[in-house]
Amino acid sequence: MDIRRLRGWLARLFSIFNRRRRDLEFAEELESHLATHIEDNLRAGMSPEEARRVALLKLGGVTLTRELHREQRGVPMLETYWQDLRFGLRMLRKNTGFSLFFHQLLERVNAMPGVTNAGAIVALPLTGIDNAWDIGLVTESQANMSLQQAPRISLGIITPQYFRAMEIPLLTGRAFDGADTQATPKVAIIDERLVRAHWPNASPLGQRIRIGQADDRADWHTIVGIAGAAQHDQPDVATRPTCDEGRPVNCAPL
Amino acid sequence: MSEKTDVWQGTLALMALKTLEALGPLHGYGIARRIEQISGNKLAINYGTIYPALLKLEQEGYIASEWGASDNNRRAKHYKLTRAGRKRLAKETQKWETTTEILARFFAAPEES
Repeated sequence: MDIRRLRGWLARLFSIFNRRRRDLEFAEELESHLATHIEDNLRAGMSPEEARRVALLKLGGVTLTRELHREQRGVPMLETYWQDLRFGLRMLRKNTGFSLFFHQLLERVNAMPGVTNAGAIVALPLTGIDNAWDIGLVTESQANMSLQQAPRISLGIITPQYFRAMEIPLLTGRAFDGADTQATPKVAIIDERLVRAHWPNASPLGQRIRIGQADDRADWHTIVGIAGAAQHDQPDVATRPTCDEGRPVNCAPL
Repeated sequence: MSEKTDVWQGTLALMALKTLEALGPLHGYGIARRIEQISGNKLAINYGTIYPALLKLEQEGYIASEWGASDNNRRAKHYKLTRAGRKRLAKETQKWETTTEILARFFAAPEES
């Protein structure tokens, strides 16, 4: 195979790991394209509505353009497998055997010389691997809103010691502990950016949020703590508020 | 009424390379616009189709991109030709000229009675 073509396929292969970042980047590129075209049309004497309509028409449709770009960017079949794998891992974390594995692993890491704290999360910040779950968040005051239309957040599934291990401060409330089990109501720790966005003048502690990808699979979680903001995406991407869902029973309390 | 011609398959990438060689670093909108202008507005080009073509060229190392400010001070992604891109353009130009020359000979050949 031609070396250039091989390089192209490798680029497509690796792009499946940072799909969201690429989506955001292309969205910004398209936005810039449309704004420039609209400005040109306005200079040519069109009304604002006409300028926008012509720019969109000439582009060939935003959705189609995004889809064509996405197809060229990655390997659609592999992306489907990747999504299935992530779904499988998500199911796996509900399995007690998986919890036991993490419990034992973290115990051993903690026992190593020089280790003061060990924690785990589904996607480490700044790793360049974009596999945190991109889901919707609905607060109690907007309870009727569909998750598809809700503001997007990144969801991180963590073990109780994660914040301490990463030196992310717990600003108020409590961390997860052994009392949080699958049998008790679901709890969440949110970060300070989310507080500023949704509860600028009140304490969110004790409030409930619904988080998930689809309305029929989303659960209500009670907010028990507020953590400092951590960079959960690559530095060149505007980080969305992060919500850390607490299901410590899956990673048995340390 | 003037009829517009669809972009022939595979030629969009070549036109984009040529545009970047002629004008230097340019954003996607500028490239699409230039292609349309150079064709005397005879090519029917959906501007959106330039992006998958540019992405493929970038994936294969023929062009590189970086974010910068456009003429109107808007943040835009600019594409520029790489050394491999220049080589490919030279090669493709030669191939294209040979093809058109051969076709021209066929069309110019007198009919045999």
